Amino acid sequence: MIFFKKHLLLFASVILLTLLLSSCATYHDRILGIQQETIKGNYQKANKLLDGTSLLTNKRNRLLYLLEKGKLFHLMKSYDSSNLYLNEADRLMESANGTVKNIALSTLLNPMMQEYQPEDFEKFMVHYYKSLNYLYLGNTESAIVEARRITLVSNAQEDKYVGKNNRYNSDPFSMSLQGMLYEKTKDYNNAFIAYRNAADVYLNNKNEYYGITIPEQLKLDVLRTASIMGFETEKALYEKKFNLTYNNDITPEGGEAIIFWENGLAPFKEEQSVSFNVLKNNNGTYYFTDAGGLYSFPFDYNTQGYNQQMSSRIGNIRFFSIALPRYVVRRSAFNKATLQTGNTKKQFEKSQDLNVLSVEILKQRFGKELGAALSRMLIKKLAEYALEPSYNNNYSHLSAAERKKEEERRNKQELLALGLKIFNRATEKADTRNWQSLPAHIFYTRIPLQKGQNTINITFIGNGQSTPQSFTINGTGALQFYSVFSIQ
Amino acid sequence: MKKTLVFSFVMMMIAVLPSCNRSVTRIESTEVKDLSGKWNNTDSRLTAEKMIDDIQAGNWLTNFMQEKAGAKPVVICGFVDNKSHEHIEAETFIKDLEQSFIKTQKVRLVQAGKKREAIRAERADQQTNSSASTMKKFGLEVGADFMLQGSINSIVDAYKKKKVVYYQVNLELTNIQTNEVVWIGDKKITKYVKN
Repeated sequence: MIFFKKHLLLFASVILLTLLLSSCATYHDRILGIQQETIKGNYQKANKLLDGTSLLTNKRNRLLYLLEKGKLFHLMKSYDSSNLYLNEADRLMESANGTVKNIALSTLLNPMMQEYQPEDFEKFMVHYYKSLNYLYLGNTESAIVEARRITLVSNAQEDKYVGKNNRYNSDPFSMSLQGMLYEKTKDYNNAFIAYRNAADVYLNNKNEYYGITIPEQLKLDVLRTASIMGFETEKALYEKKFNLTYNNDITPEGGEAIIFWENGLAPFKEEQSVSFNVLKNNNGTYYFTDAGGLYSFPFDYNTQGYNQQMSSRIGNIRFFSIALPRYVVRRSAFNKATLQTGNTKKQFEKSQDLNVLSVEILKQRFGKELGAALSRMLIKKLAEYALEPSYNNNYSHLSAAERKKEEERRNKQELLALGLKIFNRATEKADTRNWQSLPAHIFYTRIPLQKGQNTINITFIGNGQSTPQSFTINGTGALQFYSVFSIQ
Repeated sequence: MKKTLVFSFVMMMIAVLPSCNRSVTRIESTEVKDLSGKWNNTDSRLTAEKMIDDIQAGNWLTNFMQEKAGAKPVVICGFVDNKSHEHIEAETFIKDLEQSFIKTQKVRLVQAGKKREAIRAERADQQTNSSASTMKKFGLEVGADFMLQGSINSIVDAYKKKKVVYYQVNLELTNIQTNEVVWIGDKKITKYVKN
């Protein structure tokens, strides 16, 4: 009893630290209130809640905070403020590489404790919002800078999965957007390259890429810009590839408008628990396998925190559970939309499907996530074993005082081992963070405008219901952009 | 106990570990640094160097000067069509070329495109806002004798982690009066990229 009193402070510290670092709530659970207010259109309230969410204001989640803020202000049409946050997010993304501290935190505690590492498609989406913000502010020059930045992100993505054609190594949606931005400034040459590069991604993937069939509009964009540039060989080549004949369009007097429709909300991550056994190979190395024998991963001996002394103890570990992230797709209220202006009737075409993209990307890197989680858990287990006292009860050779001292030492170590076990169980968590205010899908359409005011009528359709929305665009002769949202 | 202390120490160190800082070093613009295998500053520089040498040593220059009793030709730079797979800024090597015209004083250069529009707008503005003695007149621009135009093409051959990228940059000079092509320069760059 005296012993426990004596070490109460130590034990309490472990429990307190455990409570601080653990929480059953996922990132989605923590920001649910913000999203509900956003869906209702209570952006100011959502903004207040966002600032009051301690998880988001934490330094390691700074990037997520900036991304969520940027999107919220974009919805509020405060494009300047939106870019204030997104520019900082962009800077953070550039430097958000695996630092020593991040890797160590991720391995020894859990990946939720490291600084947020953005998903690949989030790196592209930042430029989508930034460029639109600049366009809506009338700052075309800065929007073009974003178009150039898309090239840099595309190059980095291509290099990440070089030679792996079945991976997400390019983002044709961003390339199309890049084309639109160049076209806005009448840089038809660069617009052609961007559209053609986007089209090539689809053509090299049998016309379908991560849930998107090559948009008809993109085909027309390639042919139109080739035609404007006088690239007749390229035009003929792509007409053949698309099985389409392009007749030179007459630019409408009022110009044209590209309308983006953001539908629903992107999937969120939840945690799943998977049980694993530790087994020894014939060559003496250890590997993990799940109960169903579906996965088999060798132990990574280069894992942070592992040392040679631990190797003899790996065999003591037989079975454990780990936490892994899993995407949950949210049901959108609408699945298509039609647009009507003057005599023009158009359907929106799907150009980005984050429901498919995010789930597929996680599936592709599941092995990496699993390997990291397994190594993390094994290190934790080994640390627990290291703390456990040896059970040698032969104290006959010790004096009474020495025996008491030895028992006290053993009790203390048992307590520490127990504390570490509690700490390890409680801190085992999957990284459930992602930019959750992104839409599930982005659709777009391109319409001709008449000189002067054009009334645009859009009808969102889905689940047996339809919701109309109207707005006006002033036809100036230029290419204009507009965004509509159906978040529910 | 020793192990406990070590473990606690490791955990504490993680908490206070600093993040790695980015380092930036200035290098010479002539230094060759190939990183991704894509079009880079070295390609632009090599293109400019080759084009400057070729255009200034070309027969078109001496022919023109002989015909015009020693007068220097006036050149206007037109558009360089980029048909390659990459977004390539032709302006970087075109500017080097233009600069060489002015430095060597062998060729006279006139402004083109948006900059010429801005000059004309300024001249128009002077008609109402400048004093009569400093106001510049319309219709006194130097008419170009030749127009420089060009194209960038590329061929990519890739298999698994290996890639051969071929760039061909062509510049051509056309006599504006006669439509005769008097000079064609090229720069071919082939890169083998292995990952």
